[in-house]
Amino acid sequence: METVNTTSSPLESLKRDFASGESSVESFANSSAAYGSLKFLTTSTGDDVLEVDKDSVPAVFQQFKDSGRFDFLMDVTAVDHLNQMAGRQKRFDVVYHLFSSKTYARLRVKAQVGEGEAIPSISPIYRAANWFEREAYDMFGIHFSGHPNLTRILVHHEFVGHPLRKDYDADHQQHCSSAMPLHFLPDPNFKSEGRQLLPLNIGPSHPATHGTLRVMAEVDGETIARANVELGFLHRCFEKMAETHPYNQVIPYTDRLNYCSAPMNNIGYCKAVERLLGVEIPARAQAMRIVLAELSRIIDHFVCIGANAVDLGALTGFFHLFTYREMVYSLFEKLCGARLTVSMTRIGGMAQDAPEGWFDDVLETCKKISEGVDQLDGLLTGNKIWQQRTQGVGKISAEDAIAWGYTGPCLRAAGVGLDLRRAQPYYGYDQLDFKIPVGTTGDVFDRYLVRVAEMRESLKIIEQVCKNMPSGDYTIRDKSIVLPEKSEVYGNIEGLMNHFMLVIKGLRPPVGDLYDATEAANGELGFYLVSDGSGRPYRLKVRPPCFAIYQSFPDQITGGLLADVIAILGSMNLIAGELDR
Amino acid sequence: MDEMAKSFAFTTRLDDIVAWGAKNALWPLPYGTACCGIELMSVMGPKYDLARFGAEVVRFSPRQADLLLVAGTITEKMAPVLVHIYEQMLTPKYVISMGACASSGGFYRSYHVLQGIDKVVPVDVFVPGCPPTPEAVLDGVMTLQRMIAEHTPRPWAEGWKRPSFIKPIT
Repeated sequence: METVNTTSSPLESLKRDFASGESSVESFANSSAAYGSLKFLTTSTGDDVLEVDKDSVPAVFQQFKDSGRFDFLMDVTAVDHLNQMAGRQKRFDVVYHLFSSKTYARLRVKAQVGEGEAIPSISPIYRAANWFEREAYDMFGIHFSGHPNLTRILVHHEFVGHPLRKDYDADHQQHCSSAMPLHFLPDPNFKSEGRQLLPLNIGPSHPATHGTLRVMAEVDGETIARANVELGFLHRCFEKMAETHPYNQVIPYTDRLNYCSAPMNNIGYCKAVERLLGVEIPARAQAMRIVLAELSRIIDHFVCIGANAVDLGALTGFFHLFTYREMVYSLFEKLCGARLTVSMTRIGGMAQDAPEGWFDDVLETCKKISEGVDQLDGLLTGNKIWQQRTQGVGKISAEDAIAWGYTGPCLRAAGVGLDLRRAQPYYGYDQLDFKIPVGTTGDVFDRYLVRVAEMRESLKIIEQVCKNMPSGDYTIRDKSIVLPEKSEVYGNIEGLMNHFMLVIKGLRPPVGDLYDATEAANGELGFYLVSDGSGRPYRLKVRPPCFAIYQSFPDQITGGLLADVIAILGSMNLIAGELDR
Repeated sequence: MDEMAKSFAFTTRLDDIVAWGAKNALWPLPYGTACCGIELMSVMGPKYDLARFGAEVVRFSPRQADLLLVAGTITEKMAPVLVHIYEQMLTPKYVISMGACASSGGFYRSYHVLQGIDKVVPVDVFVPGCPPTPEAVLDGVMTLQRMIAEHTPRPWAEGWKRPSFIKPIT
């Protein structure tokens, strides 16, 4: 992959573009007045921010899209500033996160919206915006004018109010009396044309929908005539819980986002908070995090491939892969006592050092896993039934994948070699020798191949890191961030006071906001963190990779066969915990 | 049966032998919604092997299952679905609540999480943990087996009515 200089800020050229009114599209070339008042900022953490009027949002985004400057819309969310109204006129911020797959530049766009006001939807410009805007409506009650289907998405349909508003109590529950009947999106172009369509409900409790996904379809024989999905069956209010807990107590909640690879979520969250605090963790902690993350990536792919194969009738692969998954669990148990949800990272480093000989155990296990992956390869890759069920199924082009906001193995299977470990390296990934596997067609088979190849690359990474494990401390020793050692707490009054102060008051990052992303097993896992200087996050928004991927699902399966729905669903690696949060 | 009674000497009561059969042939419906669902996969998997306890035949149809194994958070949105599934199961039916979320809402004391599935369905065994280790789940299954073998009275299940806030699904 070519390397691109990511250090140069896109801000300067961006400013020039807007100031001179130069644009690749004529309608916006006339004057910068078309964009209203624009304000370019760079935050203390180095994020580029553009503040715009809400009415000029479509024009600005059209410019970004047409100029090819930002091809990805990573996230749309909102912030309720009810408790921070000083110096503001309007209550809400609608926040957009843009990303470029060419220059790896990021830009945050903010628009202020008042109570009861509407902001133009950008879903006609960026397809990925659809669900993200629906979510902002659901959580904050912000109206997006021109949105094709502005309905609730995460909370149940009988819910009253908007839970992420600051004046909604975190524990105010509202019972739901019944499940929603089958429903489809209003589509004026849809005609049944005399076909006898059979409505079919798949899920949420169905063996192939992994417990919490609901797919609604109308089938013409074996063909899907139209489809829709419903989510929110596992909406556990992660973001509200984060707002009501001190920073370190949010870590166990992040475990339960993508519970197939829990440590990666810990790492993503801690990395975001550490950047906000402006601290760098010691080399040993970085290396430990890489080992944990790559082990997690492997077991996440195990579950994905195993479950996908089970759904298509191949139980052997599942039993085979879970044998190796148990080995990784044993490693985690040895490291910290927990198996699935380890919560091993702390802000500032790790919770504790690895026990003696742990890294040798890891190397030993990696050898076994490597054999297991080879056997999996032999079991499935050349298997005629597996090939026929997966090849040519769920194809997606690179352009479509980008338009939907795909990241991770699903995007790479479509032929885009984007991986944040290479694009925006962290923890020294840039010094490691590994490849980014890329597919060609983006079908289910390619996704499988990419995952298998990624497991091999992860094994390579673990081997390199474990053999060169840096010595030194496993955490920073900043008294305002990290709890002192227990011997200090019980041994001297300074340590005891330090411990009490941190437990009672929590660590307090400076006022500010930032977006930080890591390459999780499913793709880009982003955390948008707003701090008001108190001991709790003012707002924490997760950008879950599978949310954007699942958004394309009804489009992907329409016109295909019913049996392929299962194959595609399994290959997308949807984890309800992060999908619904 | 009369014929058999003439030719064999029974050393047990009939309901004991039925209970013995029932406890060793549980057919679980794995209602795995979240993290616990992944640990439940481990319980079913090669190392812990739930099959050793005769609970091998995992069924996703409530008509074919007698043990509802709720593994994972049940949200307000999911509650009517859970009740519907429980109602469809044939008697005698048992419920194991696996993990903190299913048992009490866990650390999700929040607006969209049901604070324990016993608010909507009767539970026989609660397995603590977040998520519980597979050993704990096996212990839960063994506890249930003991309850079945010993004919433990289950007043909570006998007197169960659908909660008033959940409509019947038509």
